[in-house]
Amino acid sequence: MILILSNKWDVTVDFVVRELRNRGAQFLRINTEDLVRDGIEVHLPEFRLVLGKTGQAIELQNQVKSIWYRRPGRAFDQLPQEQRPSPATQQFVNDQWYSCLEALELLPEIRWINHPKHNDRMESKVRQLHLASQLGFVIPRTLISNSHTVITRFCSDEGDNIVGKSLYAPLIEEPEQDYFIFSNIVSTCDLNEQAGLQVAPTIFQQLLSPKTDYRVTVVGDRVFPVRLTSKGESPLPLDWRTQGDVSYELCDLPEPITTLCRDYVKQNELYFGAIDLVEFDGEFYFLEINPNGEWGWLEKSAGVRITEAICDLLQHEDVAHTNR
Amino acid sequence: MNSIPFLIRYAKPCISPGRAGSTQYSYDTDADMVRWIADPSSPFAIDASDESGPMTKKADIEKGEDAKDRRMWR
Repeated sequence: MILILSNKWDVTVDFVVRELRNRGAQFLRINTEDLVRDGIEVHLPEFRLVLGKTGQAIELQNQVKSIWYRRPGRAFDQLPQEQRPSPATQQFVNDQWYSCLEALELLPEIRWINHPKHNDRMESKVRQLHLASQLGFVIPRTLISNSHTVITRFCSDEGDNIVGKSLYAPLIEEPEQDYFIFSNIVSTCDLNEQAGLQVAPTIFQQLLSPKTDYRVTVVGDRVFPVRLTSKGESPLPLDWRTQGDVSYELCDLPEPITTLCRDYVKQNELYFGAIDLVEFDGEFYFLEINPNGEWGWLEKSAGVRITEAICDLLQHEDVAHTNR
Repeated sequence: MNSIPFLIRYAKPCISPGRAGSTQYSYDTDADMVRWIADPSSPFAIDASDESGPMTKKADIEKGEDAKDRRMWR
């Protein structure tokens, strides 16, 4: 059986659900926010793990061969903010659920796509860039610091224009409104507030412009490179996500870059990874990897067959496949 | 000491729907997929030609891969 751990509003999962159903595969989608209602049981010393789903109790031990770990929901996700308990209580409840769900790690011989611990480890931009450089990728000159002096000097050395972005998830969830921090061009004159720089380390990088953006989705041994271009006359902005009209086109990369992408994912114990590259001045630069990145938008807009590749992995049918 | 991080000045409001869901969409527990109920034929969201709503990344751009898993497993 294939176990999908997600939340009900992650529609990217729907692509895989439909494909698995069309293939006649045995699978179970658990939207973990529903476990509050549907229940979970872990029995010891004779280990049994039972998850509820719409009134049924499903024994998982000796059944599950693959787990797709795709953004599990949390206990209070379905409640409006005003009906939720305090943040500290929410954290307590979430911690209990997470600890309980860790029992899934005790299921034997599971293929995790990806294992959450591997995902978590690869969320570190410092680690990502370091490992990419070690493997042979070219990376932008990078500084991570909270030192006003050092950051200002870096900016000056880079010609007074650098890229500033968050070191970890750039989502700020306020009670009334969520905010997001895209990548931004930062000049020396923007660095005038010493205390704001000191309070949290920030990642600053060499500005690569003009550039061409690529999203390279790696699924097992298969590599799906997509070139991103503007539908309008002006090129894509620094952070292409800020522009609505973007064209996505399946493309070819130089073989050494394709190999690097595949090896990077494999060496970091991932089955899936969405890598952002840019082509600048004749070189391909590694920017980052999203170990649980989005891809439904590529399936729809560029016809990239990522669903098939993920289902093959989940069904352990990837052995015979070659690249693309 | 200023407690406002430098990058906050670049923060932009999200347009994405939250995980609390939307009146335009409904989760079909039989199909285990989301339907777009604003359309009379209630197609699956991934089949809707309209790009609005929680279909794919473009409508959920901020809360997609960058929201991470919020370190769930820690």
